[in-house]
Amino acid sequence: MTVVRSLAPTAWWHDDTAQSNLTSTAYETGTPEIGVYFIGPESGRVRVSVGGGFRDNGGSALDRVFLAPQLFLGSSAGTEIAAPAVATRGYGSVAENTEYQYGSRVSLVTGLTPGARYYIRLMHQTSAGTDPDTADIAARDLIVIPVP
Amino acid sequence: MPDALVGARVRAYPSSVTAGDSTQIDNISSTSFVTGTPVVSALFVAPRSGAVLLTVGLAALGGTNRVHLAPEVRTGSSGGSVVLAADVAERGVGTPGEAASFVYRSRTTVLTGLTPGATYYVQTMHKVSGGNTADIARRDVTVVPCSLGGSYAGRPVLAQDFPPVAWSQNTTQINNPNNTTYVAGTPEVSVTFTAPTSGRVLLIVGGGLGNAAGADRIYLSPEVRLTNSAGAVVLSPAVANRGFSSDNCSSGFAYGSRESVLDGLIPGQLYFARVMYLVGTGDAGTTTADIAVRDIGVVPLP
Repeated sequence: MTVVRSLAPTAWWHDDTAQSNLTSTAYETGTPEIGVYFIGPESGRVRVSVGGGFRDNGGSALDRVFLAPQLFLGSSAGTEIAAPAVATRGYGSVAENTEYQYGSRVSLVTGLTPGARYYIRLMHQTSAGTDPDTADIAARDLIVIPVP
Repeated sequence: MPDALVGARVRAYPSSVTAGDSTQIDNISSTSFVTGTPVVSALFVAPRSGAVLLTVGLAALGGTNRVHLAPEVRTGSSGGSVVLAADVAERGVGTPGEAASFVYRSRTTVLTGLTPGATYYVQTMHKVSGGNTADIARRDVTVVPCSLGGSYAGRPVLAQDFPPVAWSQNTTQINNPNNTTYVAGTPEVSVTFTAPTSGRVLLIVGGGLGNAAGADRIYLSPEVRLTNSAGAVVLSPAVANRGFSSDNCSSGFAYGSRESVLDGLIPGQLYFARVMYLVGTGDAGTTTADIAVRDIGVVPLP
């Protein structure tokens, strides 16, 4: 008997393109857009990790950076399954850090359709802007692991 | 962590679980761990390996006080015996007290030694370092069973498909390190692991760092070698994409972790991984930051 193993692979992207002097207080993708496709596993569950390096090196360091995942069915033109939300799935930096601080935030996504294709990307914004806008990103991480 | 096998009927495998609550709790004053209201809890079943990824995440601000959130694990239910007591250094996430606005982060550790098939209860507990100006706006906990053993009845699963998770932690405090190149420190915090069929693992580094506001940052980064500490370097330590660092604003210890994927390993090959650290001398401060705890975990991935 031949048994075919279907291991939906981990999808991930580690990018260290700097995003400097963030001005947008609405979520944006940045350049490059950090997004990956993945297939909903049999369990319908994936573990999502987002993270990177963040600072505000301005004279009066008061801006945080929010980094959160946005999930779509199919592609970024598809139905939005989950809007970016720093509170539940995102990394939010410390405004008082004048040098880059690196870390991650982990959450579980449930209720996905097994076998369906999804697209997930990183979105970021700076907290309610206090001029000058001096918050920066050094690196962004996105890891999607199919889990039981 | 494997997906289901095509055609297999996977019924008994324990599920990943998560729980979270966004009720804002203001002016936290307890300096010992409390559950808060509502309690953030979940039940989970230990997999055959007895090992799970245990993550706690929070949103917190300090107003000069540090907030700590840690998992407590009990057998069976909320009234069960304590298997893992809440301890921020070992398992918790913590924010710098200097944060005047909400900070969002998490810490992942690997909990091993659970009884396969047994049900456990996990809840978050929090406390503050002092004062009564700290707030919490989000508490969450996620448990993912890992390194699944041969639990697919009747399926030809190779051991190499799911080698065990590796985990090491040390709570020896290292004060005022000033090395500007990576060192392993004393004691070395390291693991050996076998690369899975996918050739892919999750590297987790974390711990507690800080303890001196305005100090040069400390980086914790993973190094991977073939076979043992004398083996060829497969991955050199570098903070940008894989490391965890201190908050340079933090006058106390802050706790968290960082994770990354390492791909292209040789399936079945034995590897060695350790957490290394250095001090960022490009920073404007002095070398007065400390290390409270260092973690490293290696998790085979699909």
